[in-house]
Amino acid sequence: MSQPRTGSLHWLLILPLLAVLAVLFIAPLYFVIERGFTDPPGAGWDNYQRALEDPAARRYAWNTIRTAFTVTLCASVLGYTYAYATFRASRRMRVFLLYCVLVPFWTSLLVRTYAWAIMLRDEGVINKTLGSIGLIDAPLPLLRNSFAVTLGMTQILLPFVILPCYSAMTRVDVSLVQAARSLGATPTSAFFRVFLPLTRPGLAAGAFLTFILATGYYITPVLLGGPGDQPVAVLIENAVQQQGDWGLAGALAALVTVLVLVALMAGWRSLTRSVLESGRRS
Amino acid sequence: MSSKSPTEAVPVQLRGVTKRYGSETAVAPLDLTVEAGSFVSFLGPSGSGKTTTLKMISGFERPDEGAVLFGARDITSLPPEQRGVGVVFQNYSLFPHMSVARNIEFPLRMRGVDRSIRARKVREALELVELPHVAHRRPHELSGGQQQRIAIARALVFDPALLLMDEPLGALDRRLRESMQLEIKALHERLDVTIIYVTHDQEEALAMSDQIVVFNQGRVEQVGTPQAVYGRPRTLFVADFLGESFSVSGQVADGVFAADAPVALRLDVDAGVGNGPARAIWRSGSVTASPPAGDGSWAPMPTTVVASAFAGDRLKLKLRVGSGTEGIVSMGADWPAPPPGDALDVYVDRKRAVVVGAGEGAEA
Ligand SMILES: Nc1ncnc2c1ncn2[C@@H]1O[C@H](COP(=O)(O)OP(=O)(O)OP(=O)(O)O)[C@@H](O)[C@H]1O
Ligand SMILES: [Mg+2]
Repeated sequence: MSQPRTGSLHWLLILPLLAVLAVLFIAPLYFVIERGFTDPPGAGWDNYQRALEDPAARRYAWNTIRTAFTVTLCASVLGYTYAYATFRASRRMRVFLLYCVLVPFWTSLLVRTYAWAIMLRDEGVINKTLGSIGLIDAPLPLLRNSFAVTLGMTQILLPFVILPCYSAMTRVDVSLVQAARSLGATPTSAFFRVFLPLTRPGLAAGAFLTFILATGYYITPVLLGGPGDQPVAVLIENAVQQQGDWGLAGALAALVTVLVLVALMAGWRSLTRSVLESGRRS
Repeated sequence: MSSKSPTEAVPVQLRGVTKRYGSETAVAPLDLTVEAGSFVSFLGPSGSGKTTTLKMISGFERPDEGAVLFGARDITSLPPEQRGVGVVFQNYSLFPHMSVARNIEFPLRMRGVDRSIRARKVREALELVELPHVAHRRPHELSGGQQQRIAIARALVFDPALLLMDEPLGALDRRLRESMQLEIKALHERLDVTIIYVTHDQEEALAMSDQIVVFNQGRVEQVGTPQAVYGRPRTLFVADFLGESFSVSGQVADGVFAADAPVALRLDVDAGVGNGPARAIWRSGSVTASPPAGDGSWAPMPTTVVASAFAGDRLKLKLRVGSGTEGIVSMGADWPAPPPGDALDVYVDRKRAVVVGAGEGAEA
C-alpha cells in the first residue's frame, strides 16, 4: 500500500480541481446555507425549526431515505449478479456485457426517465403487449408509484454497482476459489465463503455510491413516482419557486447535506478501503 | 493428523489420460501408477504438462480421454470437493480474509466437524508445522516460508489420503527451500499419506522422492527411483535434464556401441537400445582427469576445454569431444583449471556408461 511520494509537488496537480470545486460547488452551497440563517433577516435557527417541525418535510425526507434504501438494495443484488455473470462469461461476451453497462451513460438522464414513463404508462408497450396476448383485462398500474421509481432509479444507478464489483472480481486470485474447492467446499459455499467476502469492498463501494446518488435524485422520482414518492428536493423546489421562501429552502438543503455527510462518514471506511485496495497488487 | 489417521494412503492410477487445450495437446495419453504412501515427484521443464496432470488428479480439469483411479475407485468425473485430496498451491492460496486458525479450520468446517474437535485439530496441525504461535495472525503477517507451512497444515488437517503439491517451494529462496524440503520429507515419513510433488528443480526431485516421473512435452519420459533416473537415464532428454552429463555420439550395431571417430571406444549395450545413431553418457562421477591406477575399466578420451569454472570443492568443465558433442562435468578441484582451448585427455568409466538411442527427435 506504500506508494512513492512525489514530494509536495503532487498538491499542485490537485489544485486546479480544488479551485473549480470551491467556485462551483462550495461557494453556492455556502450561500444557500447562509440564506437559511439570514432570510428573513435575523432568522437564526427559526427556519430549521420550521423545517424539522413540518410534517410534510418529515414525510418527504422519509420518502427520500426509503427510496434510496430500496434502490440501493435492488441495485446491489442485481448489479453484483450482473458483474458476476460478466466475470464468468467468455471473453467476447464479457466485452459485450460491459458495453451494455456503459452505453446508457451516453444518453441523458431525462431521456432515460421519459423512456421508462412511456414504457410503463397504461397505453405503454408493456400493458399493450400483456393486454393483446390476453394476460390482463385492465392495464396494470405501473406508473406513478414506488415500483416505477425503484425500477427507473435502479436501472439508472446500476452501473455504479456493476463497475466497482466487476473490478473487485477481476482482482480476486482464482486459485483461492480452487483452494476452497480442494478443501471440500461446494461451488456454492466457495462462492459465499471466499469469493463474496473478497469482493465485498467493491460491493460496499458500489452500494454506498448508489445510496448517496439516490438521496439526491430529483427528476426520476418526480416523473415516475406517485404522491408518496416525492423526495425532499421537491419541497426545496416548492419553497423557492412557489413561496419564494429561500430561508426554508436553505435550511432544508443544509439538513439534506448533513444527512448525506453522515452517511458518507458511516460508509467512509468501506469506500476508502476499496479504493485503496484497488491500487494495491493482490 | 496423527499417525493413526482414519484415511489410509491410496494408490493413484492414471489410465490413458489425455488433455487437449484447443489444438494443443497438454498431456498425451499417459499411464502412471503412484504407490500408496510413496513420495512421487513430477519433474519436467516448463509447459511439459505437470500441472495439467496434477489438476486432473485433483479434479480441476477433466481429462478428454482416460480415467483417474484412487485405489479401485474411478473418480474421473468426481468434483474436487468430493475427492478428499489435499492441495498445496505454488502461491500458497491462503484466504487473506481469514486468520491462520480459520484457514486451517476451513476444510473441517466444510466437513461439518464438531467445534471442539476442530479446535484440537487446528492446534495439532499448527504444532505439526511448528507454528503454534501464529494462530491469530492474518496470512499477510507471515513470512513466505511460514505461509507455505500454514498451507501445508491446512491441506493436511482433514487427513487426506493424497497430498498434491505444485511447486510449493518455488517462491522461496534457496536456503529456505532446502530446509523446507527436509521438513516436507520428515512430514511424509511421519504421516500415512501419498504425496505427489511437482517441481522443475532436478536436485529437489532427487533429494526428496521415492519415485521420479520425468515429463517432457506432455509425455512421461521415464519413471524410476532417483538413482535410476539419474544413473540410468533411458533417453537423452532425461540424461540432460537430470544433471551434468558428458556424452559421445556413435552408432549401435548388434549390441555394440562404437563411438564416432576420432574417439576409439567400443561398449557393449543392453538389448533395449536398437541399431542406429546413439550416445554414450557419463555422469560427473564417472569422468575424471586422473583415473585410479590399475583399474582397467577407464578409457581415455581426447577433448577440448570450452570453458571452466571454479565451484568451491569442484571444478566445472565444459568439454567438447572431437566429434562435436559438448558436455559439462565436475571434477575434483585439486588442480588448476585449464584455459579454454586447451586439449585435455579425460577418462571415462566404461562400466558406468549409459547408452541411449539418439534417433529422430532425441536430440535435446
Ligand atoms: N488453461 C489452459 N488453456 C490453454 N492451454 C493451457 C492451459 N493450461 C495449460 N495449458 C498448456 O498446456 C501445456 C502444459 O501446461 P502445464 O501448466 O501443465 O505445464 P507445467 O509442466 O506445469 O509447466 P510449469 O513448470 O511452467 O508450471 C502448456 O503448453 C500450456 O501452455
Ligand atoms: Mg505448472
